[in-house]
Amino acid sequence: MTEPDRSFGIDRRAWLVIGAAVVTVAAAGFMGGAHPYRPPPAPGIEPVASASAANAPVPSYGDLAGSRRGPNEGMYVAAFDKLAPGLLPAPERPATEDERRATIEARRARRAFDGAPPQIPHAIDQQRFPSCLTCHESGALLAGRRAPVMSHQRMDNCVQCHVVAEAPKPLALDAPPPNDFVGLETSGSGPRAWAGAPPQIPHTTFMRENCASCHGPGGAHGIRTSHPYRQSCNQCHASSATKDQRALNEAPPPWEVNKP
Amino acid sequence: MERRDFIKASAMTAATAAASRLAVAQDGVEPSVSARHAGDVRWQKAPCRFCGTGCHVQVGVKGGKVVAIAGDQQAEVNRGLLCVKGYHVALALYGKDRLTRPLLRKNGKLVPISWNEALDVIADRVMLDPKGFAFYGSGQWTIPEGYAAQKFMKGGLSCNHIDPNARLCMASAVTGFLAVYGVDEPAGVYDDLDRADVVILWGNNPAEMHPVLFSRIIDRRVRGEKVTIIDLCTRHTRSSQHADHVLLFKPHTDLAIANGIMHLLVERGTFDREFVQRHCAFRGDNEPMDLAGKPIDFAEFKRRLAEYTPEKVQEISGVSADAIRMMADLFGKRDVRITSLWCMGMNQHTRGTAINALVHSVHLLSGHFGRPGDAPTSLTGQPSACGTAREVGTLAHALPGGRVVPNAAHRAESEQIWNVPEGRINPKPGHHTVLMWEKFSTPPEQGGDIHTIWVQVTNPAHSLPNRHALVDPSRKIPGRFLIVSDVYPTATTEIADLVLPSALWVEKNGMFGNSERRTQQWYRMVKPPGEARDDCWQIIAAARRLFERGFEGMKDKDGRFLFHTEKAGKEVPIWDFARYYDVNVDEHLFEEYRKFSTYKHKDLAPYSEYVKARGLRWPVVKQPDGSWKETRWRFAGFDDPYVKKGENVEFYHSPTNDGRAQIWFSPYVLPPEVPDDKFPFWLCTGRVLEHWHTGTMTMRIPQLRSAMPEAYVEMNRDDARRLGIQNGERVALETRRGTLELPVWIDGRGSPPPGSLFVPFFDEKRLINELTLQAHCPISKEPDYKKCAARVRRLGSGGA
Repeated sequence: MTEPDRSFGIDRRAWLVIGAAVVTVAAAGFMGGAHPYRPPPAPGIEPVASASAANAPVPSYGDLAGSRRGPNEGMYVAAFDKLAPGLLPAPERPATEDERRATIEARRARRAFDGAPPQIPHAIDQQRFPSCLTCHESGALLAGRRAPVMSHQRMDNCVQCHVVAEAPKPLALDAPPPNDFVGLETSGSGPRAWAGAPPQIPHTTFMRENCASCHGPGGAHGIRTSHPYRQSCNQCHASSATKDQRALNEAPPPWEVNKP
Repeated sequence: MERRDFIKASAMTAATAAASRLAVAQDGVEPSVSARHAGDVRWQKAPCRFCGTGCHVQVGVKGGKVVAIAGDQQAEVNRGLLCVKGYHVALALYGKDRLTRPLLRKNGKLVPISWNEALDVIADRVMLDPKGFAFYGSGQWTIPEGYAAQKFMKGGLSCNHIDPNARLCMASAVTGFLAVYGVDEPAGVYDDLDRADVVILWGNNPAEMHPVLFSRIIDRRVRGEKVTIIDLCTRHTRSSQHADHVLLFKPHTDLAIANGIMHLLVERGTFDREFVQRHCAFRGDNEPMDLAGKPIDFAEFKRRLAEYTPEKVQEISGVSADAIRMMADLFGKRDVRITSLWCMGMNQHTRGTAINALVHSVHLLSGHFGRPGDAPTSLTGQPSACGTAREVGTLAHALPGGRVVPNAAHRAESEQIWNVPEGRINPKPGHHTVLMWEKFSTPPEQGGDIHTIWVQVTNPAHSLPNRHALVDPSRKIPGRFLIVSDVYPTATTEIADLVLPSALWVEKNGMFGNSERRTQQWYRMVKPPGEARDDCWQIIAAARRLFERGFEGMKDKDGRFLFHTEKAGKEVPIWDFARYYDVNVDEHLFEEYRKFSTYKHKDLAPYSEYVKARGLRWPVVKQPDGSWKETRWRFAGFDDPYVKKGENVEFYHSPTNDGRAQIWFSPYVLPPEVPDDKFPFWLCTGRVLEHWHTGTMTMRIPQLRSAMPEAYVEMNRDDARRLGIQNGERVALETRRGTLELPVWIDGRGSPPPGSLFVPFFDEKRLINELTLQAHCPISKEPDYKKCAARVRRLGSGGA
């Protein structure tokens, strides 16, 4: 995946500010909003009426953007103002060849071939896994990184197809087995009928129905859309007839052309 | 590529190149060379190589190599979805250490020899004494391979010592079906999983073992449907995670649970009286136990069930009396549709036939049968356990199409189809798997009457139970000879005398038959490496060598070669590998085999129908308009053409010849080995998601091996704490048969209850089957890999 400082097309400094803002908002929300934990009174000590904000109505994170209060009011304003442009990036600068290659390489590193289910790059609970969808259904933003959104419809046995890339502890891999398989590469950019025409979709869309998973504003630089505000992708982008669409070939039987 | 295709492709390449240039100008990057040719991938259909689910994959071939896999959207089984093994199945072809030359052991070392020499060695071994030559095959044999081996042994050598590894995984399912319906294989289909209100997993973990089927169930919930999953299990697994009720039971006590449900149905009168009166009869065990049992009446049935009160069942099984009542409530309701699923948990069981029969009986007694969603469905672990081992009948007692060797009429029919002289087939059943290996490992003077075993498509030195007793002694007996056809070095090739390199999966034509009676076909798409050749060719070439030496058995009645194959009236020398694909040998063998299929109403369509389809479920019956129609619900009047008109359900192969299925009572009895002071733990073995069988293919796939690199022993956290064992610590696991060092994994893939352990069997460096029991079901002869007594010792200490 892309480095965090590029994934929204804004520079590293902006990311630091956003990161700080998120942490601050979270901390402020916790301290100012939720009921603070109060230990039960110790025996023999009279409880004293508290003057804390605990009795004030609890605002949601969403409310905070519109109804600012408290001593750190100014910080909220700054934080949300900074966050906003990140979600809908300014018009893109075209990716350089190196950036495009880095993106393709990062995709390839996690797949045996184009179209294989990507491996999971982090440890998981091997037995109880309802949590995949918490981050990957909507693309949660965590510590400045966006969890990739599922490219396909929701299915509940995630680990049926996606397995961890590194041996689950405490098991250990002595050495990866030598294997001569060479996987199919990505089918490359979609062809255009003329300069300026919308590119065609160069790959199958089965299990890749959610274009925004890779091409949305959270996608890697080089393959993400320049116009995230348009939602109906298929209106302009149709499947390519020349690129690999995984259509089955019919006769002649391959055994006749593959004799010993 | 045809000329027309070439011109089209060239034009497209030009157009694409032009478009690419524009794209370059736009995006600043030129697509890589391979990307420009992505359209050159040729996609074909094939069933997956691994389990018995029978998913279809699309195989992408480019430059003579398989380069990609996709789920086949046209396949009804999997509808485009696969599991992680299926997505990576192509990598199984390309492990670095594929066997590419025949190898013969000379002075203790395996050295390369030619195919010509190898065939001579096989012929020499047969000529030594055909009656002592055995074939050990597999549920991974394609249908034509199994059929050729069957004909080679029973029709050629007049020797019935042929048995498949499927004996170790589904023999009890077969005997269960025979005992109840008089005919093998499930009545239901996977469509039941789309319709059931309740799915009961009887000692089954489909989230890992049949993941595509499990997704078919739980993804209904995503669509807003309600399906209740009851997980009857001996350890908490990934399947339990999705279950509404997780009912942990003590190993082996599933018989008590089934009896407990039937007891309540009878006691409360909530069984389906009309269904039972019209379609069923009652049966109990004989002394000693056999397949037929003996008829009992309803009163006797009720009397025998009487002791299985919910409280008594709770005491035996550990499942609460309330949970037993809950299940009896569900079975007592006619409007709820219930599907039962099971696999090795019930089959690898010293009472395997009995528990299979009991679960069928629960469904019959309650009338949860013959309607979509109401089915007792046994799953298989191998891609063609049904298609080859069961239907072709590559078993010591069987002939193709549900026939058996002791039956004179069956032998005569087979001899007629094979065009061999009357009396060619030996009337005495051969040795079943455990006996075959026992005899191979016994010196001739003590009655060991098997001198040679030819193994194809399986790895018995890894998968047989108690290898110390069944395999290893044979290696020290002079004159014992082991021939192994395989694709990679395995625990079995390591100890073999002759190793033959085989073609794998889409390197050959093939046909499989999955768990729901679906027969599937695929074509060869790439060449096998080096001198690796089709297993089927190996059998035919060995037969030909015998024929050339004048061996009578390899001649048919007219003196022609047993595998005589013609094209346009001229014999094709299919024993010459260069000419093997001059004809489609699979098609020739299948068309002959097909004649066997109608006797038990398991009608198969012509080969060409399977080329067009993503598999068809038998009976496949010709329609008046000439088309061929598959059958989904067998014995059900609305779908099965062989049910008498007007009947809702008819068991037309009833063991009692009166259209009735048998409802069995079989008591719970103690297993042969139970934990005691010296060996205080239950030990269970099984699979994991990433690896298939003995891991010879999946352990060579980097993505699968990194996700699950080695075997481990699963232990309850409290047991580990009590013994002072840390997570990840290497311990010695001991049974009365052996010791194995393994890392402990606590709350990893599964969590056993206190007093229970689990070890997966895929890891060839840690052969857990050296520790398991060879005790087997007296009827199916299937060993029990699921329970024996064990202890755990910390290394460098005396603990237990």
